Amino acid sequence: MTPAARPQDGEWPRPPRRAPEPAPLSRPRPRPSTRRPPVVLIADDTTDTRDLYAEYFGGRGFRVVTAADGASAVQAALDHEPDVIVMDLAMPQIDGITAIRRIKADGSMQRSRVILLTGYPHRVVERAAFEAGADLFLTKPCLPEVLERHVNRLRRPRRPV
Amino acid sequence: MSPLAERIAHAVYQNYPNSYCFTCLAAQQGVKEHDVRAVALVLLVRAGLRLVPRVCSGCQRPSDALVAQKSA
Repeated sequence: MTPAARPQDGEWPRPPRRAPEPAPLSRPRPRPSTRRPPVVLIADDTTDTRDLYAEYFGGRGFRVVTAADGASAVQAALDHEPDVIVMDLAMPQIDGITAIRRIKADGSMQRSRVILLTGYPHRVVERAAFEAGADLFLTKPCLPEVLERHVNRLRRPRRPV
Repeated sequence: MSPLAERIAHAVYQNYPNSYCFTCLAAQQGVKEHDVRAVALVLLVRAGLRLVPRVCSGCQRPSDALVAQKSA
């Protein structure tokens, strides 16, 4: 083993250079959003109710789909896969509870949340709504801003357990 | 507004200072409660009515009632 030659002056290993100072943090530039707007389906046979909620939610950045009867609501739900469905109970063709049951029977619709919004404030209706797969039971009248709070709460992704 | 909505709004103003729950208001007008509830939204948003907790002037039970702005 040969002794290591003493390095000449100035040849000792230099201390590692400091990492360059990070550039001062700059405020990130706002980038155009590529996320799709939340989709809400309003199913109600009362034109005033439908229009009013559609106008409100449209103005709040939602994409709104509407349906005036139960069968159209089921079709619209399957076509658009809304984040949240606001379903009336008493509608032509099929009622809201049957519509919820049909929507929830489709495997692709498990992530859609459903609010049953009804003018029938009865326990038996509430129980039937939850059994059909509704996530929330609300009675009419429900102000748009109150409904929006419920919609936003429901559409947030659930934390894994 | 639908004819029923106009009729309910008129009734609410006529009833002042009394206020009725949806069940009693519907019975007073000879219509179904769920129909009154269905038109209530447009009355709240477009006709200046408010929904406030009151003791119903009919059944005397505490309940939400449609009231005119002046009585809120």
